[in-house]
Amino acid sequence: MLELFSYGDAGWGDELVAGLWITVSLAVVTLPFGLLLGFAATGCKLSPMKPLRFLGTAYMTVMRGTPELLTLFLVYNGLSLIVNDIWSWFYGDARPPELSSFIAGIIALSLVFGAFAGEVLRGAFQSLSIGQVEAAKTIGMRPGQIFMRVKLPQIWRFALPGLGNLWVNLLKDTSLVSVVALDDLLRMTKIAVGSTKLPFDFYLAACLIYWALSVTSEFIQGRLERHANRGVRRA
Amino acid sequence: MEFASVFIEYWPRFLDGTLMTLKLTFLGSLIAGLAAPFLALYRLNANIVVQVPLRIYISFMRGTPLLAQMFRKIFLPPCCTCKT
Repeated sequence: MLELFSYGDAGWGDELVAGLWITVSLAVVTLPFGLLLGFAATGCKLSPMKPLRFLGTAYMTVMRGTPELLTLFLVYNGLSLIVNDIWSWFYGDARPPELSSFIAGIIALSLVFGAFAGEVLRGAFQSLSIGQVEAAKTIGMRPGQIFMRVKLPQIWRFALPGLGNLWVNLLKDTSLVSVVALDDLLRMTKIAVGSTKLPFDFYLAACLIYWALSVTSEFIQGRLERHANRGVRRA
Repeated sequence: MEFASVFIEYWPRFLDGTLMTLKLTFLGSLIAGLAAPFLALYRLNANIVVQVPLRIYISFMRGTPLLAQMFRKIFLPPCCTCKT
């Protein structure tokens, strides 16, 4: 049994670790882009200008209302069509570069993460007390200072539980990229199953690895929340 | 337009798929809705012998991707699955 998961040519351990590396790096690279998109979407949705507000609302509604798998397919297939068109515009018949499924995965997952994060951040922005912002203005802080010193630490505190949930979701949703031929953990498991005909053991192993990632994330999230809530008295 | 013609040609299939989606959503949420209140009560009140497996179950289900779960379910040993 154990030699099946061993490292090297005989076992599937090294393949699974390679897949795990893809899974984790996909999630880690997606996170900052998704957060930026989330902040942008919140900014649009809370902006006083109507077209921006419409744009933000439309983005969030569409991305939250369509399955992630569909977004991934649209990005993977649609984007390569666009890239090919642009390429042939400039270079004629030369072979266009292939859009890597890793990049397609990052774009699709960021789009989805951004929409959900936008909703979480909107809630956090709206729980800020106006009095503190006014007080900061009164003592002469510039808008940038107000954002960094008054708004951001509190938004972080309010948004952390929601964002932590989204991060775990993101880790799990990276398994969807296995359908566009990116060799993540789930796809490596599938390949191992196809070769060894031991589906139950290998999928259970994959589940346990994902589970370990989730539990670790929850632990770190708990620590971060405790740190963010320091100095706040519980009523 | 290509998009419109695709939809006109294949709309019965889209309809079939939508009905299946609704069916799965309805049945899934029905079963979950029936089970969840009891899980919640046990999770809050039961003694440690019931709590530990329950907590592991909840954490496992929340912490693993649906896709991996599904593949694993299909291949459960025959004694654990009902024939569909």
